[in-house]
This record gives sequence, structure tokens and C-alpha cells, in this order.
Amino acid sequence: MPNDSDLHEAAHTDAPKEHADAGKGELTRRELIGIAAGAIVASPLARLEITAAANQEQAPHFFSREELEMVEILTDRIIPTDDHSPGARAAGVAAYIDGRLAESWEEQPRKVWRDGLKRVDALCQKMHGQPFLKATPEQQVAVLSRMAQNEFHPKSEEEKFFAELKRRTVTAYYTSEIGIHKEMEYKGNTLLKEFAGYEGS
Amino acid sequence: MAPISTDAVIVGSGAGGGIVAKELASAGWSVVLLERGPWLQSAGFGHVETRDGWVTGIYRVPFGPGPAEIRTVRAGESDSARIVRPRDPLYGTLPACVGGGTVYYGAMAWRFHRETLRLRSHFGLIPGANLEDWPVTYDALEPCYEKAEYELGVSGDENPFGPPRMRPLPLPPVGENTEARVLFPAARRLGWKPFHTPLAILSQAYRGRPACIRCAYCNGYGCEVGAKSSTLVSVIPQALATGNCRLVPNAFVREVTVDRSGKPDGVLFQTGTPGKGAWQKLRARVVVLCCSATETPRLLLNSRSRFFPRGLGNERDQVGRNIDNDGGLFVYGLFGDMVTDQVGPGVCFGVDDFQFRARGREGQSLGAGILSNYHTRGPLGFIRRVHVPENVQPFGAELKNFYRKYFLRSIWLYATCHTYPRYENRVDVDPSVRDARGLPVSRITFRQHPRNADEEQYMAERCEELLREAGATVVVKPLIQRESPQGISTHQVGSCRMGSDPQSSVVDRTGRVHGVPNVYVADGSLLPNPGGANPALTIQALAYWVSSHILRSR
Repeated sequence: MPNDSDLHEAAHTDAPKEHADAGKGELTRRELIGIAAGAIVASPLARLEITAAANQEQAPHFFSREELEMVEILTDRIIPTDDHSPGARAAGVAAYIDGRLAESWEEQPRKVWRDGLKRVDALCQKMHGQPFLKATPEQQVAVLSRMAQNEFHPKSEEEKFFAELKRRTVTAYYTSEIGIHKEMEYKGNTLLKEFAGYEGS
Repeated sequence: MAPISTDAVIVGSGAGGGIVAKELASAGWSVVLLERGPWLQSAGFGHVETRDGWVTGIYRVPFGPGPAEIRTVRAGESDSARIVRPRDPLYGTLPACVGGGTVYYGAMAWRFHRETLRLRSHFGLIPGANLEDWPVTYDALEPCYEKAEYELGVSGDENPFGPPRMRPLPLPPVGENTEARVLFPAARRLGWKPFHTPLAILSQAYRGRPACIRCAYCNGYGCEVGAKSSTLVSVIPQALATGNCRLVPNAFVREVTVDRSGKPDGVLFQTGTPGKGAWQKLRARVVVLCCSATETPRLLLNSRSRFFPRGLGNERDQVGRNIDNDGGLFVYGLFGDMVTDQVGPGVCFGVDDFQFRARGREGQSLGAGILSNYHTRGPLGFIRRVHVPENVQPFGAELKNFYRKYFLRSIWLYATCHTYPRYENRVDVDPSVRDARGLPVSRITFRQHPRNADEEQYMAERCEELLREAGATVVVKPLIQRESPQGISTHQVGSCRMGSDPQSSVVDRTGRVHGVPNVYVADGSLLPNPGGANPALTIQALAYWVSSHILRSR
């Protein structure tokens, strides 16, 4: 798939999880090595369900509790619950982002997020005189709107962080079970019961 | 312990290696097929985008290579190279597993046009491009294309603009989805001749394998029913059934070894965790390298001895040069109605009206390329590509609704374009970066030839024309960057160019390394240039070609 850089880019800073204490439904390091050594074939994978929601109830791996709560709010404002399906919070997007940042091979993405969240707080302080978690929902939306105002040509650090925030949010949400099946009603993950045969044109 | 000895060792079990193994083993040779990745079974492949997808999958298991398999990249000799891992778009990642790229590929099975094998004669001298006619003509290769189509199992229509062929494809097309029903009439209204694309996917049960279940998860996924004609399920089982072929997965080869007279006599390989196992010698009369256009040059260059101080076959500094890949671009259209139904195999509509018939804006002759609809369009792929119009809120309910509404009201077209290889583009080994085994890694130096952008521009315009004719209300084209450093995709070719002149090529017309009696190459490295279409079937036709010459060498 030549020049398909955006899809590669979607995940290129992320790498296989190496934590032996990986959560429910995740491969442990031992299993990874087992597969790499060819000791077992792919069948164990077929029984695993890796979804964003799997991480939901755990303590954060990288974020502080406060940072995680900020990310919960920010991501749920980007993809909210509506009458069609639950939003980012229900899909466990923040915990997913937390897990991906924790396992990243590079330090850079973690720095981008820690600095970015500080800037969100500072912007909220400037606009409304209080930190993000203390602000009203309307004030929080106003902060996000300010960050999103130059989405296609971001200039300030806050605007650049919005692009990163949105990229990670949609990546997590639309690969979660809620995002793929409930929201998008995607059928691709199910087998056809029979071959429809040659139709011609 | 005496080293194992065999007639032939084949390094790499992908598109090319699987075929060579089957051909040599069927002729009675003892063969050892070494594969750096694991040996997976079709029944373990699945459809969950986050888990099984080769591109979007979180764990990159089971498709490797793992994140420890680093490379370095740069855009030119004066740049410093930076380390990249397999997820990086500049890495040029191909899967590491038995069957290689054919396990996860989209399985388009195009024959190259006659002109593609003689670009130098067709275009003449183009500044900055290193074009050469191939030492083998299309007509000489035609029986090999046919053999590949019949042994692997290829379905589809006759291409109305394709090169001449002796026999029709063995299987009828797989079938259509809604996109095809929108695109076929629109293309005909434009005066084009669309047809059902050739796919190495079975439309009917064939040679003991079942037909496609039409799940649309071809590109980026393993086929769990084995209907995709990967070498994993087609030729490799045949090679093993002869009793003459031994397949060793998780076996990494560091170098081709030479005897006291300087004649290659086998390889050194290691199994298990990188850097942990002992290096083992495998003695072989013939060595065949099928490791891909980014790893075969590395293996040659890491095979240094007093007889080959610059690496095997590299006396004239040609190994790794001219690496290239075809240009590829996506154009998508948004529609008022549902135009896609998620039925596979996604690719069922193809157009080949333009190759070597097109002209650019300044009247220059173009290679152009093929155009098709696209497979495996999961939600994330759509969302990451779609440019949300400025009148839609950048976050919130409006954004969510936009994604949901247009996911099934959009069509992606994919165009493959001819490109112009550059002598300066190269894979060599990095002088300072080593992998976990302590071996020098591949270093990719790559920049697009400026004319590539003209080809892409032309094909992007054709895609737009078709989408508008089909009723798209919004068409989004990619930003085409002149002399982009983006390149070395899965369609990587050209780094051990075939040629008659050892001054300007690495292997001869039989695939044998110049100046070495018993080392052959049979992978994408051979192709002197990409084509305007996916390269896999041409790599496989050449694997049959090289195999026939290896058998004659005995």
C-alpha cells in the first residue's frame, strides 16, 4: 500500500506492549516471545478481545488521576454520547490513550501530552480564572473551541495539541467496540454465511 | 556437529521464495526454506481491525517484524540518517512470516505492460532517472505469468488494454459490490473500458482450496479460509508435500558464506530470540535470496570476506541502488446516497485505459497507471483520510454525525502510477547502527524523481473525473509533493537490478549474481523498475523464470 502514510502514522509511535502485568485480554511479554519463537501459532490470538474498554477500570499507567480525568472530559467533548451511540468516555478512550502512551518506545509522545494538558489548564485559567477540572461544562467547551480554531493551520502550541488530541481520540474511539459496531454499524468484522457466487456485470 | 547440507537454501518465504522452493523441490532437489518470521495457520487469522490488521493492529503480532528490527532512513547522501521502526511510514515495512507479503496483501495480480519492461526505449533518456530495458522481454516472461496465475489461482476479467496472453485467467471474477455498480456505468459514460480486476483470490473452489467468503478484509489481513492465494497456502504446501523441502521459521540469516576458494557454500543463520541463539552453518550448493528489496541488499552487503570485501556481488558498487516503488494515491468522493456495502473483496472495479497512452500538461508522454476501487475500508481508515469540510464543527456531535453519515456514502479510488528510478536512491548497510544481533541494519536513502509527481497528478485527475461522473458531491485529492522523500512502500523493487552489463546491474538475466556461480536473487529486488500496477505477480513470474534457470544450472 504505497504512500499510505497517514494510516501508518496513526500508530507509528506506538509499539507492542511489553508489560508483564498487561490487563485483561492483552498479550503478556511471555506470550509475545512464545509467538515470536513459533512455539504456538496464531490460534490463541483468536480468543482475545483487545478493545479500548478492556482498560477502563484500571489505574492509569502514565497519566495522573487528574490528567486522566481531563482526558476523559476532553475526548468525550470531541466524540460525545448522542441518541445513536455512547461517546468516548463510555468507549474507554482516555484509558486507551494512557496505555498507548505508557508503552510507547519513544519519550516524545508522553512529553507532548503532559505539556499539552498543562497548556489546556493554563488556557482555562487565562480564559475563566480556574483550572480545567473546576470549570463549568460551558467553559470547558469554550477552551476546546479556542484550541480548535485553526484546526487545519495550527499555530499556537494549544492549537497543535488539539490536532494530537483529536487524532488519538478518533483512533481510539473508532477502533473500540462501541465505535466500530454501535456507532458505525460496521459489518466488516463478521463473516458472510455463504459465498454469493459470481454475479458478472 | 557437521553442518546440515542441502542442494539449495532459499532465504525468505514470501512472494518469490515460496515459488522457488516449490519449483526446486518438485524437481527433486533437497531444499531448505528459511523464514525470519513465524509460521502461522490460516485458521488463526481474524477480522478485528485493532487486533489483526497489519496496518492498524495494535500488537503487530502475528505479522512482525517486531519493533527491535530497526532501520535508518535519509533523503540524500548529505543528510544524516535517523533510526526508524517498522511502524514508521518511511521504514518500507513488509511482514515477517511464512508467506511474507502475500499473506496480508490485497492480492491484485496485474501483468506489467510490454513497455514497462523497456522504459529506456519507450521514454528515451530522462535526466535524473536511471532507466534501463529489462534483459528479459514480456514475451519471454509470458509463460511464467501464466504459470503463476494457474498455480496460485487468479480470478478476474481479461484486461482490455493488457499485454497479449496465451490463455485466459483460470477463474472468473469474484463478484461485485455496490461501489462497482456505481463505478462501472460512470466509467463507461466517460468512454473508458472498466473490468473486474485480476485478483489472486479464488472465486470458486480451486486446487483443494475454498472460494472467497467476501468479507472485504483482504489488504492488511490474513485470509482465514485460505481463499487468498498467498504462498503460505498455495505453493509452500506443495513444496512441503514433495518431501524434499524443509521449512524453518524464525530463522534469521546473517550472511552468505564462502569456501576457501571464495565460492559461496551456504549461509549462517540463527533461530529464536534475536541475539540469543548460536549461529548455525547451513551448507548448500545453491543459495537463493528472496528477502525483499530492502533486506536482500543488506544480506549481500553483510556477506563480506577477503574475496568480497565490499559485500557479495558488490564489486561495482551496484547492490542496493535504484530502489524504487510505484506511486500510489487515494482519491475519495462523498455521495448523497449509500454507495458502499462492505462486501468483499473490495477491489472489483479496475481501469487500465491510460498506461503509456496518456500525456501530461506539457504534452510529455506518461506511463500513468491503473485505477481501482479499494478494499478493506474500516471505519478508522476512512476517518483518518477524510478531510472534514470547514462548515462542520471540528469536535462534538456534528463531527460524529459527519463520520457516521459519510462512512457508507463515500468511495475511495486507488491509483497506482509509474515512477522513475534514481541511481542515488539506495539501500545499503548503516556504518554505525546495528540490530539486536549486532548486525549492520539497512539504511534507505530515497527521494522521488520529480517526474513522479506528473504521473500522480494525471492519475489523481482521472480519479476525480470518475468520482464526479459517478455523482460525488465532494472530491478530495491528495496533496502531491514533488521530490517527496516518502517512498519505499510494500511495493519496493529494483535494488538488485537484472541486467546484461555487470557495470550497471547486480544480477544477470537468469537472476544469478554477476561474477558468482551459485547465488541467485528471486524477489522484488530483481525488477529494474516498478510498473503502473502492483508488482506481486511480476515478482512471482520472475521467480518461476529464475527457478527454471537454477534447474538448468545443475
